Amino acid sequence: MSALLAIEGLTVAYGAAPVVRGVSLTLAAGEVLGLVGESGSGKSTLGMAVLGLLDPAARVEAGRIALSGDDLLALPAAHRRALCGSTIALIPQEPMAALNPTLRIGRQLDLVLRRHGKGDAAARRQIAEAALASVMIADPPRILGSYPFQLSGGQLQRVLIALAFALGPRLIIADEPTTALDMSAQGAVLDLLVSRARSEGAGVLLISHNLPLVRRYADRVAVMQRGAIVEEGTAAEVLAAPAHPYTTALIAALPANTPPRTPLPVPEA
Amino acid sequence: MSAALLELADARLAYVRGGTRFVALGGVSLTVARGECVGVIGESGSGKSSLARVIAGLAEGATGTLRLAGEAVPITPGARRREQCRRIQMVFQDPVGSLNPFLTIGAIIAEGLAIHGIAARAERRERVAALLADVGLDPAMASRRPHELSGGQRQRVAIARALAVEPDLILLDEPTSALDLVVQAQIINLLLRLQHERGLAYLFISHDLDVVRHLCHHVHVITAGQIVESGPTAAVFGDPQHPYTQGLIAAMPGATR
Repeated sequence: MSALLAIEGLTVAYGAAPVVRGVSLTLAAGEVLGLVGESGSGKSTLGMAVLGLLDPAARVEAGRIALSGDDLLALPAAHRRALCGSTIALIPQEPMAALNPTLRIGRQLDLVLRRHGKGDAAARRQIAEAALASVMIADPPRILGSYPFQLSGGQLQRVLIALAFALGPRLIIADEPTTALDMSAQGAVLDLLVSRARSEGAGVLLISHNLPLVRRYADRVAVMQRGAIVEEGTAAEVLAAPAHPYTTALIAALPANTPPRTPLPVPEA
Repeated sequence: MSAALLELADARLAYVRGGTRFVALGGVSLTVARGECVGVIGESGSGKSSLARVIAGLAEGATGTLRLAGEAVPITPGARRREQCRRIQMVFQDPVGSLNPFLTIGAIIAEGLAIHGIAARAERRERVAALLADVGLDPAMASRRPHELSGGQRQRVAIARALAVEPDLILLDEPTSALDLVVQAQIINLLLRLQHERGLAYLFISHDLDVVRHLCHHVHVITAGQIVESGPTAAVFGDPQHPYTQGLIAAMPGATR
């Protein structure tokens, strides 16, 4: 079976310091791969490398990132930019920071749809309304006429999911997509993202430090520590019977796994 | 049974937004005993942060009665005596937004010492160093500024700032929600140790039910500005009575155990 996304031996460094070290991963169409690890483990840098949105100070030093067999790193810059936001979509941690606070939602969706050549103004308006309706937003015209600050975090995240799917993505990089949301909104947003991705055959790289959430939504899990993958397997295997001491330590640090009001075991630095 | 440290009765808060009146708190009452950790859980918009702001004396237009160790404390902003302000401190969710970016960490922590006349100028440096050590930071960090610190380090600074003025009660509004699970575990351990060593009371506000279950003796469930269920933490989580609580617990992503 050929993978949708195949990363081989990827190393990304800031100056002389590698933050992603020889990472190899694969992701199939319709699959959800959870990428877990601490802040600073390199998981977001990995996601940005796939999107082609690395910080200018970061360099890919070695490796290959292939989407359906095509080496993304070998593509001309313009071609790569065209993929970003359409074929490869990003669902960011802070939807508020991803949107322009001075423009109504409708205007922002329109700008993106126009950039990706989605017909005239009337057609784009129709696409935007249908997209919002498809993420269970009750009154699309009202949302399109709203500014970001008038919506809740969960609503904004659904708007971004609607926009991503309106452009027919094959791969979705979801970088801590629900960390800024409360628990019930987290479930609603991920239910939506994952069911939609599965029904459309898109692959999802779900980057998160929330192990219970990853266990519920991911098919497979990769655990990242100091830039390297230390363990990979099905979500059930890795999180129920971890093989690597670091994974064991991460799971042990969850409050639910220690009797109330006793110190939590903290993984060693 | 020991007398309550904090007694809040019938707290109400409403504001007008775009011509419509929005009730943030519709008559909330609760107590916190000395050395106790009381949790408040609910979704975004349930009123849990408004509750913290009312107790901290930051909510314009709030009504209700508040007693601290039996003494009446005004609920309206600006009406509290300095000494009453000192006894209730707050730690916010976002340590970036709650630390002045222009001040050094030492100045941020020493500010309360000066305002409340707790330490003479000559002693402040020493006090700050001891507080930093107490929250697990290198005392040399006093000369740094907030942007040079990680999220977990900044939250430790916010806790040190609260501790500096020797409060009876600390209001913790989502103090671990912006942190990854390892840093979260470190902050939970710090809060447990400080409470044990100093007999502090905490009002712990969070949507993270696992963290509340780990830290809190008692828990209140709040929705639409009303407390709908209260009780010992194990009882509320083990056998929730109110449909709203049952829904919240069902929405937990299945703890890994």
